[in-house]
Amino acid sequence: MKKYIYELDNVEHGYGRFMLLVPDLKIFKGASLGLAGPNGSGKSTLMRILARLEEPASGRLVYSPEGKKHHSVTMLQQDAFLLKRKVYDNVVYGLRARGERFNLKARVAEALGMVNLDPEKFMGRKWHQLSGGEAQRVALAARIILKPEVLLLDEPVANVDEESSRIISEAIRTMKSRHNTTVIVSSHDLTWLASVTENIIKLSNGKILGSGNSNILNLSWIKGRDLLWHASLPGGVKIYSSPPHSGETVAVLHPNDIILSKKKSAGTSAQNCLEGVVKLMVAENSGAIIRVEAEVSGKTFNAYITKASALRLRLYPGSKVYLLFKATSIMWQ
Amino acid sequence: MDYLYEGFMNAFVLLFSGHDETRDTIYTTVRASSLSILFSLIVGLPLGFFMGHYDFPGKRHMRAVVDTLLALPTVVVGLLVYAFITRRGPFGDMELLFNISGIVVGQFILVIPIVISLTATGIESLDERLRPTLVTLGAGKNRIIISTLYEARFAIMTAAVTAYGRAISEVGVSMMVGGNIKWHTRTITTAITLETGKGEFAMGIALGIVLLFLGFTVNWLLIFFRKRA
Repeated sequence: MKKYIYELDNVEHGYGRFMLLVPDLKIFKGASLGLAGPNGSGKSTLMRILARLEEPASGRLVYSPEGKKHHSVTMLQQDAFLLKRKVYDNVVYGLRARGERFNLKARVAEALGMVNLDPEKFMGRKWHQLSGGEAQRVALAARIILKPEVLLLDEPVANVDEESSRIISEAIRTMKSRHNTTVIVSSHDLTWLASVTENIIKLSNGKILGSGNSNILNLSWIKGRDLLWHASLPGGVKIYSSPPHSGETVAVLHPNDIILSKKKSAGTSAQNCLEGVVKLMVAENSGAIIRVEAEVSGKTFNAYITKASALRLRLYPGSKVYLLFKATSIMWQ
Repeated sequence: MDYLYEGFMNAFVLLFSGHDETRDTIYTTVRASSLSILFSLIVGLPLGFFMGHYDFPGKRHMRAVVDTLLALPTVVVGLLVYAFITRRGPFGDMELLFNISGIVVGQFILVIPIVISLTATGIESLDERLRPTLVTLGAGKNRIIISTLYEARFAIMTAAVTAYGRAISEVGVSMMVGGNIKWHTRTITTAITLETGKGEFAMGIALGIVLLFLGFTVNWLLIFFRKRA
């Protein structure tokens, strides 16, 4: 039976006007979980709580590692931070802190190899002689070498080039497959996140808005005259929603609630008919379901369709497509 | 202006002929300054770390006091130390007056605000991601303190060099507490004052050159270590 490594129950934590609320979250040992959401959604706060850098203001957090509690979780913060030392000293720091003294050079070489940095070339380099991507990879190597039970990565590819992003993804997969490490990664790049994690939970304004690829409509909503609420997408296109209940601030649209059409449909009850362009199509659930990422007026929407529908509509990246959904499909939280 | 030229020439003769009195004065200065810096680093580094690393009630007021003490006049320190270590003072029995130990105490009081303040500033200006990085890499409390001080090593070196510069160049404490006793407590600065008063420019200029040389050496060492790091 699978065991939980983290159990969070009614956890609340905040600074000033921001408050992170986690009513119930359980993470299995060996899982790979993605945290998605815009800046200020609470991803980093949740990461810091999971890393035990901060204790939650209220609620219960149970952490159940296999080995020593103190040594089993490590975190890579957003934007690589290296100590003002050589690469070797940066990577070996955690091992020395744990009192390990043997075979250090070989272990550093192995960790650097995992992030595709030539040990001979990089071990002796100083912290300021690295590019942004190399610094991020050195910082990741400093965590990988510890073989932690839990590896927390906060926006690891936010400021790196494509090559570094690919290498970091590969290192994450290797850690998971080789050491059964529980990997928790935050990113605002859903596509990348989906490629390195098995599950994604979305956060907005400090709230968990369920898992999967639900569309968070973090927009400036205005009450209209016809009792409907409306908001403008970045490109100016308006979308309509049924009114929220008191205290609900975040609008969410589930990908199952979007109908895709090649023609602009009239005469339906759907209040919203948005013209977009297919950006990406990803086969999920053994290929039976296709996740379609479509860009509408500067915002990306996720929609689920069956493989049969995708074939019938002859959809492919670059196709023009209409997204239809009812105002009542938008759920407020 | 001939006397100036003559002074410079005689200065080099004094310096390179191994003049005993000059050598003793230099030795006394270096000894007193080095001891006072050593003690001020031992006491000041932890205090500076504490002030820069932690938040506590009254921190801003304490910082304001320390920063104000940076401008302590040397004669005021000399006067205070004199009052405490004179025969009639509370520490009169320790026989610190007119001794190198007394000069060390005075210079310690003079330079410790520099060490505390510059160390605290160095710690405060460290990247805020340092502590979480050390914690998540598994560092315990002591290792966090040592690593934080190591990360602030350039600021700490600057603090030490600035403090050393203040100690070797002060004259008030050495004169009042040391008494400018030949072969015993005469330092470079007190000797320069005395020799200039006597019209002995050669000795005064020679010692002035040594003082400058000491200052340059310490600063050069700082630049050298920075470059190497």
